[in-house]
Amino acid sequence: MQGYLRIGETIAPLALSKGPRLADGRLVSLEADWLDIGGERWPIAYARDGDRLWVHLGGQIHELAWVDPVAFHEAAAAGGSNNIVAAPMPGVVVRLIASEGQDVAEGDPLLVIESMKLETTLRAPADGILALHVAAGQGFDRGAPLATITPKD
Amino acid sequence: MTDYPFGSVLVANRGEIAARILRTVKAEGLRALLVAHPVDGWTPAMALADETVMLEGDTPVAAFLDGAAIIAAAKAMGAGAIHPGYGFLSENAAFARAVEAAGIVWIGPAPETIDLMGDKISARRFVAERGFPVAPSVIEEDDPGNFAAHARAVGAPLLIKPSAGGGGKGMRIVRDLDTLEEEIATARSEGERYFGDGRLFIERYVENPRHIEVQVLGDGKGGALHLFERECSLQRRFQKIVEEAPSPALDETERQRICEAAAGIARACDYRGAGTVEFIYGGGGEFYFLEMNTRLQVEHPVTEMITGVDLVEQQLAIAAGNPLPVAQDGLMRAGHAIEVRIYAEDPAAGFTPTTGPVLRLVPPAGARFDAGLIEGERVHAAFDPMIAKLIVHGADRAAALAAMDGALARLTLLGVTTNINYLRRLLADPDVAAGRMHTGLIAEKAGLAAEPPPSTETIDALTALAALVIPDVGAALDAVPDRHAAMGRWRN
Repeated sequence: MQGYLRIGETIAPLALSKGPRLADGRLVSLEADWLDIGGERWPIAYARDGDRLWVHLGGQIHELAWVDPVAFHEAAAAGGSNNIVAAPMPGVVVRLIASEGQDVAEGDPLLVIESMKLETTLRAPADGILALHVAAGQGFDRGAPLATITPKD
Repeated sequence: MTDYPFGSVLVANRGEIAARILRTVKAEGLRALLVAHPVDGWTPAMALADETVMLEGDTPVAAFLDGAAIIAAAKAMGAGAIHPGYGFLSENAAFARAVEAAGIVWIGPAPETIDLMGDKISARRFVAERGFPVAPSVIEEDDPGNFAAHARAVGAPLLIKPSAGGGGKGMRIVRDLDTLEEEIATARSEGERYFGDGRLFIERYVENPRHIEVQVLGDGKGGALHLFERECSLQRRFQKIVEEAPSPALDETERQRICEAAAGIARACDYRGAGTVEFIYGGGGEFYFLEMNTRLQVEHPVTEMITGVDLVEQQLAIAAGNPLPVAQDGLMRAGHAIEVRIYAEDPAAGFTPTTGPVLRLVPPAGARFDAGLIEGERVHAAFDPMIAKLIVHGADRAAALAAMDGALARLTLLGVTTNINYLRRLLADPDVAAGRMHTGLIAEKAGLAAEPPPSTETIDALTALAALVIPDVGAALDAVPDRHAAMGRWRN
């Protein structure tokens, strides 16, 4: 089958067949806290959170995400362009500098956030029309979309 | 067992330290009282407390800084004493005074001591005047017009500090004296922003310094003893993440000198209760007073592990008016202890805080694990991202490092990104393993922060698990026509 697994920063192609079997034919099964790969048993602990999987294996903690192959290739085709201003860390919006619907240029200051007592100014990643998704005083988690820039053409 | 003039202790704190203090409070036969904020959900401290009053505030942090509300809660529960933990109101002299004015025992030093040591300028002046070592420095308010000129005379490198500061906020290192005025202006505006106080002082910056601190206990009447040192040189953004005792840098003579200096400072200020005198230690064996923390420290467990002394029990006994329990020469230390702080943060993303649910939490057997939350709760952005501490003890430093590596490898904490994997890499670093540490080491070895790519073997195992437990993967496999599965058999 096609598809990808994101393991931390690593993207690993999924090569599996029914069984399930790994690409080399080894049969895999799970029994309580043990993962069995072709007769070899690994102690394992895991927990699912939506499309993410947390695994404790071999003394390391791994964060996995299933990457849909269609989505993966679409993102790659888009050239990684990103007009969403995502929160670099959890925090709170101190103040808005630009306003909703404003025509902004790349590098313009949009809003000020505070996290760990440090204030950071977030700037426009591209030219376009600004849409704000947060208000002053609002808290957010890491990765939350704070603003989107829509190109004018 | 100590005879206490109070029958209950309220812990005005949260997280791992609230639980840790309450354990000793209960062991001493006292009623365990707590204040908490709803955002924390159900916590280990709440499970231990005999009674909990919920606090309200504009923000969760504001709730724990609301001294009047905490004293009102203490009165409502009939608290005989208040233990402030660390952070929040623990070094707030006005709160200490208000607690005493309310007829409640304050478990901490006299408010005047908090005032004295809380201001970096008055603290270093006090310490220097009594003959203890401080770094060459310039205090702005001594001669504001010539502040920069006096600083230039001390010579580069320099460290600019806000007088009211703490936790590394607003500190600037100046190596090029041409930028001095500019850096002073930046430090002043940061000081004003973080602490509402733009006063500054500048001192000689010690390159590649170690952070060595000494635990002290004082009776409040001029009697004090030390419980040896801790080394906390492994820091990121001026925050400690690994602490150990004893320091691998000190020989017995140096240990004696630095520990005696700390006890001397505690005696000089009639220190009451548990405190910590922090020093900067240079490569040539020189050490300078940095500051005194007038409270229990996050890293106090390493001292407990090597001395066998329960520091919270000592705080309670001293607050009860008891004399110091032992003489200095009655204190022994054994072996080596290491603590690591488990943070909800992503080392690979510049150690930025993370949030998320704690889906699974299984502490490793054979180690002390002081945790602030339980499985099923969430790590949120409202408070400091430290969620637990892991502490081990070994016969020597190598044994303690090995024990810590094993404990970190067995610690299961799933659902939120933490620094657990990073801590294993950091402790395995050859310089750290050899004890060659300084406060800039983590920044210098920034490459350790990146998660190394998993081995083929690990990818195989994770892929197999994904096929078994991620429904999308399982469904995609099931959708594969039988022909595909059969093909495999034909090929065999």
